[in-house]
Amino acid sequence: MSFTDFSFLVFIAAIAILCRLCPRQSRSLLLLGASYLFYLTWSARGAVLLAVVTGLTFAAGMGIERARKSQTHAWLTPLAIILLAGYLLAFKIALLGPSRGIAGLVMPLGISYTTFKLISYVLDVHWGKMDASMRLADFAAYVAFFPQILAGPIQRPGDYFSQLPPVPARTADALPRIAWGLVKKLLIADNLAPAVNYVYAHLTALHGAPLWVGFYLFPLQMYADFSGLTDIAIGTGRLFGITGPENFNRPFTATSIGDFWRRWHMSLTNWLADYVFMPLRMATRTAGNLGLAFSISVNMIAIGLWHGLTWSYLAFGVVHSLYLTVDAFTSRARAKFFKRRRKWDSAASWMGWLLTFHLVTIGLVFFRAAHISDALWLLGHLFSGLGASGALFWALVESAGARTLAIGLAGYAVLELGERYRPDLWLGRISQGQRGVRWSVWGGVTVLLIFALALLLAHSGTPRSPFLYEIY
Amino acid sequence: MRFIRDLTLAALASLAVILALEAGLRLARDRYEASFYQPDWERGYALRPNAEGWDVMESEVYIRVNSGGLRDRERIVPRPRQTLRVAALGSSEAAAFEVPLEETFEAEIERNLAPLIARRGNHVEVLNFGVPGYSLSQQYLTLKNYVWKYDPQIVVLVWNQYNLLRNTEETNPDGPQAPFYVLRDGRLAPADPAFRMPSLRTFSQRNIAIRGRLADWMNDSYLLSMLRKANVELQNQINGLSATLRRHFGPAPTAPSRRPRDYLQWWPYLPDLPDMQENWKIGEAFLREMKQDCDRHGAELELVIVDEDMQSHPNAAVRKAFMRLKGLASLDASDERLEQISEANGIPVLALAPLLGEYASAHGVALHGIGANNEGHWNKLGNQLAGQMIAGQLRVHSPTVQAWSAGSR
Repeated sequence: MSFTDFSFLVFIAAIAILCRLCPRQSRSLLLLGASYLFYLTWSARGAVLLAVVTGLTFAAGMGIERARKSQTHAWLTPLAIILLAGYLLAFKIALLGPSRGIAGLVMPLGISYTTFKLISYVLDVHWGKMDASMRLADFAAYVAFFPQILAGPIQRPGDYFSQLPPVPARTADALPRIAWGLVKKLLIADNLAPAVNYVYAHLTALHGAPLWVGFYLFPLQMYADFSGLTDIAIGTGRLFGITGPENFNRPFTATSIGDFWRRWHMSLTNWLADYVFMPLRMATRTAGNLGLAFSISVNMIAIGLWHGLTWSYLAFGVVHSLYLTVDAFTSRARAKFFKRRRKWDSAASWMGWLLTFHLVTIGLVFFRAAHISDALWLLGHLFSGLGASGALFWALVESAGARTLAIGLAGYAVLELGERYRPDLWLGRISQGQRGVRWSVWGGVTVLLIFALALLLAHSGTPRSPFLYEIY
Repeated sequence: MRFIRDLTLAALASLAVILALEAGLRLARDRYEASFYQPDWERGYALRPNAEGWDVMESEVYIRVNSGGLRDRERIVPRPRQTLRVAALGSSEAAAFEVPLEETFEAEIERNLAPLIARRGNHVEVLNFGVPGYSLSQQYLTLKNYVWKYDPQIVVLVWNQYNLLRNTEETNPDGPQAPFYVLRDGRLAPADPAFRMPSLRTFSQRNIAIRGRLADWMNDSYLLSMLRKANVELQNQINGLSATLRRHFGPAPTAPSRRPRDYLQWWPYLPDLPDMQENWKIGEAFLREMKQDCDRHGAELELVIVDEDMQSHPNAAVRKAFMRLKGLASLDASDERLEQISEANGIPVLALAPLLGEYASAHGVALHGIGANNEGHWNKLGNQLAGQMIAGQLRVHSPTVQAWSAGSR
């Protein structure tokens, strides 16, 4: 069951109704049951494995808390971390083999997300940021919480447990977010996907114009797809009274690489900042800039390899560690430079935005390409035979479908405008006004929701691209 | 009063959003399948007179059904003077919803025969009686009760081998959409003389007309067409869900279903399959009855056997691989059996598969579907070649065409 299946909407509607009907104290149990039911539609073996790992971590958490209070068994935390990291690593390595090893037999869904949740739980209990959970049902529901299992966001245990027992948000606060996520995925990402897939499938036969199309479109597709998935996850979570953390904040308006990472996949970035970067930075603070560069590099390479143990993801991490290191080392000098030349300020923010977008896009070429050589081919042939690549460009447009591409691009423009002007906020303000205005707003929103649902149904017979982040 | 004002305001706002969505769908040309059908007391369903809209199943084509319920331009009843009329009877291949009307094989036959008989103001018309999904029983009833008022001199029966599957309820893959016939004392007889489509049991003729007008209205709107498609998909989802529940929690089936699995992949109509013997006998009986009906009306019957997409695949290696995979000695076994049956009943026959297959291989082109994978119904080139080949067959073997071309009419 994927988030864009009609059956998923029926499923969440049923759980939302049950959630409102059952006593508050039993809602965690309901969410646990629903999560495992969802998980079973993907993999029964994966569900069993998840239950085992959850049970062991729950026991470890209680042991760690006792050890913290009695200052004994200090080895328990490192052991738990090593085992959890090993568990994640084992599956990531198994995926590299031609037969996919154990991953071919039992690949736990969203393993990267659930493992990071478990690790943060162990560390937070160890550091005394929170007490170990005493209710296995609450803990297991947190780990397996199905709206977040496919692709996050990675919610911290403290944040999740503070919302228990869950009190469902108003349906009107949750549904528009889900609808917006579906629009991003079905209307934008899926319409940009054919052009991107075409370019990356025929890389070495292309040069010039079509490569530019692939170069610029993949970041847009990626953002629409991934943030759409996150919107559905957050909206669905709200239906059950669990608000997940935001994962994106208009990342392509960032004016520096540091700014970009504060806006892109924020739950992963913050997780790594808290559990990898900060401890490393503390440990290397005496080493000055070298320590900073080291901490940044380890952090960014970890982000890259979190997606998979491939050279392309490693290259993605290395490229971004270089960007961030240069950004960090030059930030003071740049600030001083622009302080003295105030007139350049507005130009600098424009230039910063343009440069950041292109640097990010270059990084994402490595992320999307199957091999580093493919990424280098794309980047190396952007200008070659540019004038003579018209026929190749039109072949790409014909293959992807001009209308499909136009819908994807127009949809992306709507996405940027929508997130810039936040109609959800002003709709909220308007709906507090007079009754006629309120009814009008809700009438329009209801029509839009019915439309979104019908559109989803109408397209349910046609094959769809899977979410890009479902594989992690 | 204020309540009415607020309610009106809300209704107007909702209407504005609806209009904006309609405009958006039109701008994006996000088209959905129009409704072209209406329930039919005798045949189960038929094309709805004057229905029009987009067909988007394989390609996007604007379809117009004429006032007589044919996917054709307006035709005069009865046949005008100095006109040679050919009636093309069949299912989806004959209806040719995948191409515009002027690119159908019927139009191609007209173009090819016209110069032959154009003397002294004679002209030729090829009427399209094809209806997608029609079984042999529905084609037989169409011939018997709807074709003759147009007074054609030639009937071309466009035969798709899959229609053999629709000859019995046990092998029919599509549910109860058509009346079934059985053999009693060697003659065809309705299996259920009181056959009614499930939808017809609750609707009167007047309701059908109202529903038809509603469907016409929905065809005009992209938004309403989308909602109709959503409704169909919803029904599919519900049916799928209830089938799953029945499978897991319902009583165990008492007898295994004879309905073939993956019927489009496995060529289950092959003449040597034990399950298909009855289907072939019923098919032969239909052919015999249609021949007799044509004889009674003084018309010629010509049989045209449609090629399966694999039979005319442009790549010979793919054809061979398919034969190996399915364990077939030949791709033409069914066509050969049908040719024998036709000849035994004195019906001229044209099997298109060898001719189209040869053309596709020689030119490396796909005659079916969009793109190069050669899957689906005839595309523009497929229709064009089929039309030329059928016209060639009529020119050589039809005494009526020969008489008209010799100027004796």
